[in-house]
Amino acid sequence: MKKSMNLIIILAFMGFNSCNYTVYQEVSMKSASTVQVELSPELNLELDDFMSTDNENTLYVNVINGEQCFTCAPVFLMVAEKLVNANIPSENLVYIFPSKRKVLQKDFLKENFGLDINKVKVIFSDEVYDLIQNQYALEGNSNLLCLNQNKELLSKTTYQRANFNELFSVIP
Amino acid sequence: MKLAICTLTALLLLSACGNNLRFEPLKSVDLVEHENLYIKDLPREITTINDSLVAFLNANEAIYILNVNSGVIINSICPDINFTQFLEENVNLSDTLIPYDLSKHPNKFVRQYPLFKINAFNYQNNLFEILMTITNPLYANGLVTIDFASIIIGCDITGKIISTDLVNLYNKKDLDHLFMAEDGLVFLPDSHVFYIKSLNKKLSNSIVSRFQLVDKTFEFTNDILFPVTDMYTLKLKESSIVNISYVFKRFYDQIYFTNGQDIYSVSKGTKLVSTSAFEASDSFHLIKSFEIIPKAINKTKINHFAYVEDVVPNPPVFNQSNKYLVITNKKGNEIQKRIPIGRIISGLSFQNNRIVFMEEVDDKILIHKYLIK
Repeated sequence: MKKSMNLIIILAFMGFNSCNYTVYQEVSMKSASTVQVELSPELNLELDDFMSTDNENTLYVNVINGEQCFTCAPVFLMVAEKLVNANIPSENLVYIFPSKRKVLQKDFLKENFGLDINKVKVIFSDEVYDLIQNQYALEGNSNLLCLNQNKELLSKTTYQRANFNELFSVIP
Repeated sequence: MKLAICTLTALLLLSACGNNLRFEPLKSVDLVEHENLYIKDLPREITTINDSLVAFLNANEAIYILNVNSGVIINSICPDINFTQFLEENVNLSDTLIPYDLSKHPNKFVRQYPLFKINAFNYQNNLFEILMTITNPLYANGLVTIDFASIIIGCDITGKIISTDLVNLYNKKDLDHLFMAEDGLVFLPDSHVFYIKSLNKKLSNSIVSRFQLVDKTFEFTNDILFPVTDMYTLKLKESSIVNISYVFKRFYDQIYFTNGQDIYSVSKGTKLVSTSAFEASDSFHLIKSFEIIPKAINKTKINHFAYVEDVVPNPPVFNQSNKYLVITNKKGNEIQKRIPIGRIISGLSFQNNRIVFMEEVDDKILIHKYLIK
């Protein structure tokens, strides 16, 4: 019994995706990197309605493909809670997901992020998701981006199963 | 002379048709969904109930029964069972793990974590046999969820529970294996045997394990090892994109499965169909699901294998895989038809001379049917 339990726990820590075991742990805090990126006119046009603010506050953009990180669910939920509790104006907080049928969108947001679809700026679009992925070199991962008013990248933090502190460090 | 030309022409036409495969698209139907009854993920496996109904698992939460002619989901089955009582009556808790009560945990995610899931099911003789796993979430410097106990629940098409049996996955004999309960199951109710995917300690060997009902408990009886020397091991990033898992099919008394690369016969222990996966350097070719086509309705002889081939670019790119419906001959060694069928595709079902599957397109789901004889 003990032997098989050890195997199970080792597998979970290895991130063996086919298993039903979800593990996350605390890790040490790292400072977020700052990168300057020039946006293409095409992307600006596509996202202008969603990613623009009238204020000078940081724009928080969650670019998330939940299907590619099987162990990130608690991280997604806790970061979403933290962003809500930080009282960030709704116009400064955007969620971008790959396309999803309309009938799924409301429950998906509620179950995975504890969010009301009517109260957040959210885009479900393969096209927009791809554009953002390529523009900011996100390498297929889910990320929390911080942008300034000119949509210049201030920081890029990747969602992983254990990096609460790193993600929390960029939220006021 | 005229007769000879006619005969020759007929022979040529016959050889052009090759195998006399009759393959015609039928009219597609829109699937009807609403806020309380919708499909979360297109299923990897679809089970035929009768000439118009199919059943499939909706995201490990419930079994949906769908009328493929009207497109209406007619029922959702999720067995209602008191897991705490079941464990108390059937599992010696002092001898194993103690389930944790997280209902009062301060963290909402932990509180809401589901305590069970439906792994797989089999339908035969008006009986659903459902493999469910009771999970045991433990919160200690993070969340660790462990599959605690597996049970087989027998129920009818309305969801009425007829039987519950414990599956003993934690027998001492099983220490060399890791059972992948979520990854395919086929159940033979007459003999009370089921087959399931498992892996050895090195996680490299492809094994099908056999469980049998012994003294009210399903016990591991033996495993069947398949040739895996040519198995390609995907890297973690690749596997998260191409998502390989096992699909089992029962065809009368024979069991077949695919490991994402080939189709094997369990009883013969041999490989039947191969995609020649991973041979091309620019793409992966995977078998996502398959179906066995008999010579005629109620005939036990195989006429064709049908499978969904997934072509994924190498290295994998988000959103860039294409699916093909492939029909082979009865031996599985010759492709007779290969047509593109879209990007987001369900598993296959054979129903009344038709191959049936679903496709997600933009904001709706279509039910496609192809006549095959």
